[in-house]
Amino acid sequence: MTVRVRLQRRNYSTLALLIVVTLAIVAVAGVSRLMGPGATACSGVAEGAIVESQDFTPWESRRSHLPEYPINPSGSPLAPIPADSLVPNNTLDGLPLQWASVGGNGALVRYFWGVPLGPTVTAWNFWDGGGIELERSLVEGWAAADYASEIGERAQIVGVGSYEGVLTWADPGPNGGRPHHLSWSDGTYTYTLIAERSAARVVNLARGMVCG
Amino acid sequence: MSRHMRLAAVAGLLSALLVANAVYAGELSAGIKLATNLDGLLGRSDIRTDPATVTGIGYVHPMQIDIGGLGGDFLGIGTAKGVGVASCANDYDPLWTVYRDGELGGIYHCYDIAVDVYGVGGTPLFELRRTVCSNGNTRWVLYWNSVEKACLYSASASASAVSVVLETTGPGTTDRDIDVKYYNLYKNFTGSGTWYAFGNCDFSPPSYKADFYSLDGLSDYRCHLWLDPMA
Repeated sequence: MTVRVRLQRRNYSTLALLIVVTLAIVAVAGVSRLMGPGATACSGVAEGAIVESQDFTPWESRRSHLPEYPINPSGSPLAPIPADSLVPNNTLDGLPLQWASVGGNGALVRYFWGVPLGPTVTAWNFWDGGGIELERSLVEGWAAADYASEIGERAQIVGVGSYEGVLTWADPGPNGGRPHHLSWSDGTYTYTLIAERSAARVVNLARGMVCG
Repeated sequence: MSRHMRLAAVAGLLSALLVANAVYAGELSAGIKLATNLDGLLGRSDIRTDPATVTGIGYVHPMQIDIGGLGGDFLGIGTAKGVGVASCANDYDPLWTVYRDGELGGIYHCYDIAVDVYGVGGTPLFELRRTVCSNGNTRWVLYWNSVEKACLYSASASASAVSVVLETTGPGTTDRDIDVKYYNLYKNFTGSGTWYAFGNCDFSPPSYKADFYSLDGLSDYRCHLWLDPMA
């Protein structure tokens, strides 16, 4: 009798262990890499599911900083830009497109915000104020693994649709804000999404754009 | 470590950060050029003043390229002395060290390239450019005196600004009446393969002294930066 109870307990323990291991494998597959070989990463990531490094370099512990300069110093209105499939309605996370910078060789930087981009607004004002930046650049042969390797251990490979992306949690800005950066390539353009949102939120925004 | 200890550690870290932010008073003087399609910066920095009694803080003369949209990721190369950060070491002797720093994915990095190689009157030549690296791949390449010092991978193939900078990493000491003259300054546009004159410096607020231009006069190829003596 005692032996049977022990066996049943051992079976329950084994079953529980199997469930935990299975869930862990699913979590690792779904979160750490967020994409299996040949898989498409389009499902939503739960808040808190992405485990990030807590390391950072404070603003005052950098040798040099970029001069802060307004994004749109002339305060000029938004020039018409062709919509693309990523943001067909020019609205991202409920924020309308307020301004865009069109560069050479296919470069495009889009700024989504709740208010117009005034002539004194800097990048940190914009990110700290909840704005979302979407950059596009023509980088031939871009590979997530190479970019992650360049950045170091604080970079994570994540799935964005059928592409691999690199997620980072930026060092704090002058007011303590820490945007997430998520870069991926569709084989033609490289995209980078920058926003002071949670890691899960940024990944889900990118997946929403890529997966439709 | 218990939950309470972890909470206490986090609270302590936050307090330290708040204090650090409260006392941070670095100053920056910069000449900047904006365009949406830049991919290169070339020029010499002429080290003109030696802050001999640097203690605690750092003085830096970087040339920078702001890759991608304005703000965020950038690459810089230049001379520095004083307090070390990240992988850059302290350097409190009279000579200046060549270093590089920047952000990729918003994450800061800093590395020394050559320690104690310049005194007053030194005129190192720096270049940052998107071009073919010695490994055969197109990268952001950093040069010191025409010798390749780094090839960096990025998510952006163009830049929104190039700048020449004089910066302190904290409140100045009494003899920090310092200036640096940049000359032979050029910028490059994506796909052009040609160097263009930097153009008259647009000074970036807040700290600069625009009325103290180069002894050689204003030029499309020069930028003279200055931080005032402490009152």
